[in-house]
Amino acid sequence: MAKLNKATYLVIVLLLALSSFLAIKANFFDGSEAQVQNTGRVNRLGSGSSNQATVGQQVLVNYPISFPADHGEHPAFDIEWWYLTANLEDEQGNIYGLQWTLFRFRTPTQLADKTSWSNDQLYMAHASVNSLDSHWFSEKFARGEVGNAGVELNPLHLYIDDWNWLNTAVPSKSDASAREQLLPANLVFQIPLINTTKAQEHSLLQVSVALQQQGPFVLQGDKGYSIKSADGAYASYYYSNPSIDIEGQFTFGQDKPDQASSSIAVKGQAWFDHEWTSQLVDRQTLGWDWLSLHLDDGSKLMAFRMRIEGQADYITGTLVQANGTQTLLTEENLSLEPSAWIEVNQRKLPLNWQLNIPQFDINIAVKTLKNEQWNPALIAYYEGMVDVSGSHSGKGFLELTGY
Amino acid sequence: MLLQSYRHTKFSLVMLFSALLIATSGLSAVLVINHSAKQSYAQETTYLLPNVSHQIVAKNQHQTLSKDDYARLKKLGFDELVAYATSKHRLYQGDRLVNQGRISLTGIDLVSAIALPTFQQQMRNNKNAQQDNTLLALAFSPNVAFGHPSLISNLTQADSSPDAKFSLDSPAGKLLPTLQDIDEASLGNDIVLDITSYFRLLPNSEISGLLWLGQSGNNNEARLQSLAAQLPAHLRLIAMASGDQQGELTKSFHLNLLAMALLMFVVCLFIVLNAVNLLLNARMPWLKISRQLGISRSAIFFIQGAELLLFNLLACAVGIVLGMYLANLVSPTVQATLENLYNVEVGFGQVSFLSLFMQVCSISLVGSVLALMLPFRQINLALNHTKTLAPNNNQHRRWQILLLCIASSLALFTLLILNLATQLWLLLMAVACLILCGCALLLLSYSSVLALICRLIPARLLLLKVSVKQSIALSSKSKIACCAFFIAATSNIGMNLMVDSFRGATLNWLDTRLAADYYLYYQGEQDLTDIAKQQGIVLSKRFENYIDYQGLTIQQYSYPNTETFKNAMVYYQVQDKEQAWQAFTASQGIFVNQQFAFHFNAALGDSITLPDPSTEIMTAYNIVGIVYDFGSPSKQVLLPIQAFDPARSASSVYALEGSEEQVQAFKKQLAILDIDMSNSLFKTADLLAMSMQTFDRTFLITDGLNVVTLLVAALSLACAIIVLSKDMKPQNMLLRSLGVSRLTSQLLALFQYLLLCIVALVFATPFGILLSWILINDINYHAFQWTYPLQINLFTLLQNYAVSLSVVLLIIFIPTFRASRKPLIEDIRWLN
Repeated sequence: MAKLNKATYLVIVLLLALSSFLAIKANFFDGSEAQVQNTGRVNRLGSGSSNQATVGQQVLVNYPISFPADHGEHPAFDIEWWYLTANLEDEQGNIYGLQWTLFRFRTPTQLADKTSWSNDQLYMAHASVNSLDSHWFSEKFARGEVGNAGVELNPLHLYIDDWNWLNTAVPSKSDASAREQLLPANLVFQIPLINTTKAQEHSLLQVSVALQQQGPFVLQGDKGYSIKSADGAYASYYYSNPSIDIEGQFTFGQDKPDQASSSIAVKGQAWFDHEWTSQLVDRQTLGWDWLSLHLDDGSKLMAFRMRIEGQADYITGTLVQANGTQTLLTEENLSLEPSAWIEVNQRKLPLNWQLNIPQFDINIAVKTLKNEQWNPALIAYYEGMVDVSGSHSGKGFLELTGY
Repeated sequence: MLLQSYRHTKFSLVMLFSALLIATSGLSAVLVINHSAKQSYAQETTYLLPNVSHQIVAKNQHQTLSKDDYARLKKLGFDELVAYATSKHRLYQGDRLVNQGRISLTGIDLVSAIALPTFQQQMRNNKNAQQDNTLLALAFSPNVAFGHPSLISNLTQADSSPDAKFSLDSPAGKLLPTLQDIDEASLGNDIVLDITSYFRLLPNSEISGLLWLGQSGNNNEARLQSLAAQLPAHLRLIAMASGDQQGELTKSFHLNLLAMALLMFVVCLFIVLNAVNLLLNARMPWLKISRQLGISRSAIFFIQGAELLLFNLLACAVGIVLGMYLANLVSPTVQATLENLYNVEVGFGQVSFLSLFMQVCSISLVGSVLALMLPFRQINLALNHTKTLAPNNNQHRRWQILLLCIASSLALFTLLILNLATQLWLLLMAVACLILCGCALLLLSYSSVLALICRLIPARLLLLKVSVKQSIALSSKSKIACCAFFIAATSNIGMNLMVDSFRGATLNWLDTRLAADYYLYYQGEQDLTDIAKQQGIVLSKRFENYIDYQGLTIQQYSYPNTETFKNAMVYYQVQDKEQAWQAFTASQGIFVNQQFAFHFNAALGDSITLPDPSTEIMTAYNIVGIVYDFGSPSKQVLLPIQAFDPARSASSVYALEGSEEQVQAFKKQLAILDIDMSNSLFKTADLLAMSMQTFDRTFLITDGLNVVTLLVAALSLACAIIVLSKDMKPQNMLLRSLGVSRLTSQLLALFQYLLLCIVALVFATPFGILLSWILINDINYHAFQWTYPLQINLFTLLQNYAVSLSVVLLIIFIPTFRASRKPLIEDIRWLN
């Protein structure tokens, strides 16, 4: 028998749990197909089907995304995430980039006996804050059914251990579903310092921010059916809210109990994405490059390039103008090209981009505000704040996976 | 020439090589066992998890640690916690039971652990993981359990295929996931799997604890304090036994084992000494011829030395392989002994062959050189002189005085250590001194005792008288062999008396303490009292609480107030049994076990402050009795049953008083409630038999070592006899020429040697008794914090004599038989 050690054991479990995520986020390994199966779970959305024994429920065109029901989780699908990125400033004008993500994976075991310790769902969360000098980051894992992670609907509550996204709406007769909405909400988490160029930096960061919705939710792609490849084989249900005001406090603490903590007020703009699918799970998926931008003229722009082995890169996006007009961007009206590759964490990454939408006279350069924004998670990736210049100015976030 | 001489010295060579082999294999087996045990304590991992310093457990069995407790603590931000559940099982492969001892199955919540910085750090540090391609194949095999390679190979002896399937607890039980080996010394007899797989196998199990995977640094302490402050009332935070603490706990075991190995090694060296002596004697004509041919004495010594060195190297190599095999063979028993006695997990270790070879070889070389000194001195003399020197009476007297001095100083030294020292190693030194003192006394008085025996034999038994006279001559020439036998016999008597006393005390204690008719082990929620009452059975619950006392966790245990249990109490110290019992039942006094009393230096009449079992209010209690509690690692305080609140405390042990019919009816009632009692309701007699079986299994190693030591001593004696038989040939021939038959002369020779052994045995008896007294009252006291009365059983002693003499008779029969087969003419030559 082959010899294994602790680390191998860990990786086995990790790979098991995250096989779905890896397929979309990175070409982590070859030669293995994700094993998923139909859990026999009732499809609470009432549409779509899971007609194959080994795959989760499939996304279908024309599925009507509805709120607040779809803010919740969709356990019949293989993978799902709730993703928040925010560009923040404190009172001194120092800038911060914040990211908080909750992932859900369906991890069927193919074993008949169910236990009180697993409902075939696994949760992973990442939280990151970057200043120009420092980086605080942490990740968490939990399995469903234990009770320390999950998504509750009334009030809407996304949580894993002590990281919480909790609806703060005041219940009213006029809006009975207010407590089931995603926003307004409070987001609270604590993360440790992992990297700094400052001589002295706080080793713990406690984040407590309030999120206020300022604009409508945006259904990406075709009414929320977001195609991810040229042949249409990859797709997901995907909606966003690019208009969220974020305001709150960063409390910096220390490892040592006798050292004092300090707080600062921060505020800015946040972008929220919610996506779920079973059709990104493929070993051919190499990764993606994703941008979310708040332009100074009030428009919001999302664009991504999907890299799939054996296929041309698939580029698409959505532009929401200040007046709310939404336009689906395709390769015909969107050009997205890396303009500079920079080495970060021993990898060459496309940190600078040139984005061109001639139809709307948008010709912008996107550059990261600092290079070192690599999230050293077990499945590591780049997630960082960017600056926009050219025909428009603005700020936003860049995500690079699979490098 | 040397090689040619081998044809004539086969027996001596076999003896020499066997002695070296036994010594090296025994020593290496013990070193491997010790090393493995130490290595597993030194590991910083617990069930594959790094840096586990504390754990959260339920305060009592009534309110268990639940999944909700785990989730609640996680949601409070204590993400360093990782849940685990563990239980012991028997494994079957088809219909075959594959493990004699029980194997721990441990499920851990790996998903929680993988994000923790300590765990990730360990993964980054471990580069081998990245190199192992098999992980990709295994990545999609969730149904996997991990075990140490040695454990897996033990389990799969019959079927070595990697797909070997094991069922849990019965041939028809649930199938264990595929076993994958993982080379982690701390694993021991554990099979580790993910907690989901664990609960899939054992759905009705409960969480055993929450492990704390803290990061080092000040913040860890602060977080632990915060955790302790926020724990629900039914949970408690306890420190895990660190490697140091476990090392301390098992130090006595290592010392015992090492002392035994060294004892065996020393006795083996006696054989080496005698075997070398035998070899050189056989070669003496050749050596003399060599000298006559002009080969220098130094060259002769060099060649003999080089030959022994070669033998040593060869014996070491073979001995180590044998020793490792032996260690592997006994490791389940050793592990079970350690785990039961010390309540620690013992794993498998890896020992480098080279380092083990170096250790064993150097020890055996030093020993051999020491063993060579005397025969070389003799050969030196023999090669120097052409005539045998007459015995020097003055020299004999000087020896006697020297021996007397040695014996008295050793006795004094032993007395001093026993009275003043508390360290285990010093006490073991005292044991060594005692045995050596006995040796010195034996050597001092051998000839006088034999002379006395000779005088007691009537003149008409002439042959016997002559034979005893010859024994006196033999005794002066076989001192070392006799000493070896004495050492073996003393330790044999000492160990056997100790084990016998322990067995007797345990049996007596269990017999008295197990006063009820039946005992029931039940952990469920159902209240059984009323069901028992319906059947006319008196059911006494045994409540227990775990509390902190002077920085240690101790047990508060309930004890029934009934008359049966009053009579069942076995006191170590009590002033007045009746008064003590009255004070106890009136909640005015408590009983403590020996472990508590010895550890906290508590005595009768002392007042100690403990939390009340019901209210947790600190209350002062008066110790009215110290009771025996053999084999328990826990420090225990006994309180009357009414002091406990059933809502707070619960126990899984119930004592049942009722007839067999009533109990059968009770069982039927339980079966209706779907409570299976087949493996948890025991008749007291069966429970007693089971306990004693376990006891006997535990001491199997001691018995084995005893016989080996005895065998080695007898071999040593046999070597000496062969050498001496040459010296005695003229006398024997004289007897033969006077008409004594061959049979009679051989029987007389056997009688001489047996007489020497009997005298040694008689001397060994008081020293053996003293040895067992030290083992019980000093070594056991300091190692385990409990003692028991020494029971000197005449039958045990006689049994010891019989076994010892039988082994000796069996071994010395070989040289005497060889001698008897020689033609008469060979013997007649000696008359010339």
